[in-house]
Amino acid sequence: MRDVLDDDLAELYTVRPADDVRLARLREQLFFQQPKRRGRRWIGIAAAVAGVVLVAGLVVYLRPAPHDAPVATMPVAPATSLSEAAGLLEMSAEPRGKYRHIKYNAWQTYSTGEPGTATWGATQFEFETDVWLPVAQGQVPLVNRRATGAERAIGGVQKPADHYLGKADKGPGLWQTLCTHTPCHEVSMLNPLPVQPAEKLDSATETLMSPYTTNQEKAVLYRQLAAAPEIRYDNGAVTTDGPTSFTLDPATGELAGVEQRVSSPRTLPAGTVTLSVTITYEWTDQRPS
Amino acid sequence: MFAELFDEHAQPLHRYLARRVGVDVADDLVSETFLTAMKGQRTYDPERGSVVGWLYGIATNLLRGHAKREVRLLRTAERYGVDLGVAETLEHTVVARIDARSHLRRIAGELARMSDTDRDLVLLVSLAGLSVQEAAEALDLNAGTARSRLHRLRAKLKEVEHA
Repeated sequence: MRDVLDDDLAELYTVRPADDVRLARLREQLFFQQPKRRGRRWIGIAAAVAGVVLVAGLVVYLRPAPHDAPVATMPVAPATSLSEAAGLLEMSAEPRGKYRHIKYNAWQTYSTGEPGTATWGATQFEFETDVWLPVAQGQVPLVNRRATGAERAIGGVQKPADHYLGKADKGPGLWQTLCTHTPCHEVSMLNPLPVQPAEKLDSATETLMSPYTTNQEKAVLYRQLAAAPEIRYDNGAVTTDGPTSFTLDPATGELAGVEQRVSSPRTLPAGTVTLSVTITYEWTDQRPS
Repeated sequence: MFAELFDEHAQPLHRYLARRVGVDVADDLVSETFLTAMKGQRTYDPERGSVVGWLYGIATNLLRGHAKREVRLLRTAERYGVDLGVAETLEHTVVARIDARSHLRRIAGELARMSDTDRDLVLLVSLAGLSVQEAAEALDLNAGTARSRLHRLRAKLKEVEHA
């Protein structure tokens, strides 16, 4: 009969990532890719194989109904939890090029005036950030940030961009670490995660957004978030009762988007999205000079 | 026959091994377990025990080659109060964020101090879900001996769990 000790042992020996693909590969190696032996016995083997083929052919021909072929490979199952997403990240075969190109598309909300008055207004402006992170050591990461000029109204008085943005304004800082040469290390990994669930998710999300956080480190963060019952996972959406949430791609485990909303309304109505970021990734052998 | 055996037992065996020594090592161990089983199929005697006990016995022998790694992970888990998945990652990162869980520390420390056979016995039953009889077969122990030893080991673990 299982008891608390079994639960604690299960917690200590945490379940590792989904293993269907690995097992399918192992099965294929074990039963379909046995090394071929060369030698004089090949004539006998060939005769035996021919016999088997002949018999198998007859069996197939005479069978009343066809059956499905045995499955040799299985597709990667989408992550149904943060722990599984962590496993997918750990299993990703990387690097697949000289540079990791990470593209951030961010919409940030700016507001003016007091809510409830005629002077109040809020507008979102779009910013793009491209990062080319070299795989080789001792190279300089390239980061390009810019305002695209696109905007969309949230409500109230709509002010032009120059009311909110300076000429050199390139949008929100999405991570804190400065890296001049590879290998880069995301320094916020050095800090412990807060205990309070909303703060924990907020802090982890900022670290997850950094281009310098490795997949192994992201997997650690996913597992720590998974350990907090207040932090929920639903088909890639990771939420809690707080202002920050993120989405991940259930097929790859990669962080796909981040959203922050107003929790205590002062200049914006509660629930207004203050920052929305979508993130895409690709491997490339070239980058802008 | 072995493909069927693989389909039935590979996944729970892999899951068990991955929990103990990580996914990469588990891949190798599952391969080696089935290769060893295929080579030694004539040595399998159904009269002596179940196929589950036989397979996990092979896997347990192979796992012994990685006992030092498991003990090292347990020591890391004891030090930081983390699970073995995090402990494994800690080996590859300078520092990681840690949610210390003190009961895990104590259990990890006690497991690290156990003999390989004792640790295998506890984990084959608790993690792999084998019956005491099957675990005894896997470890080549008398079932009665295994039962009393398991009782003693679990009592000790519960003692440190609530210390």
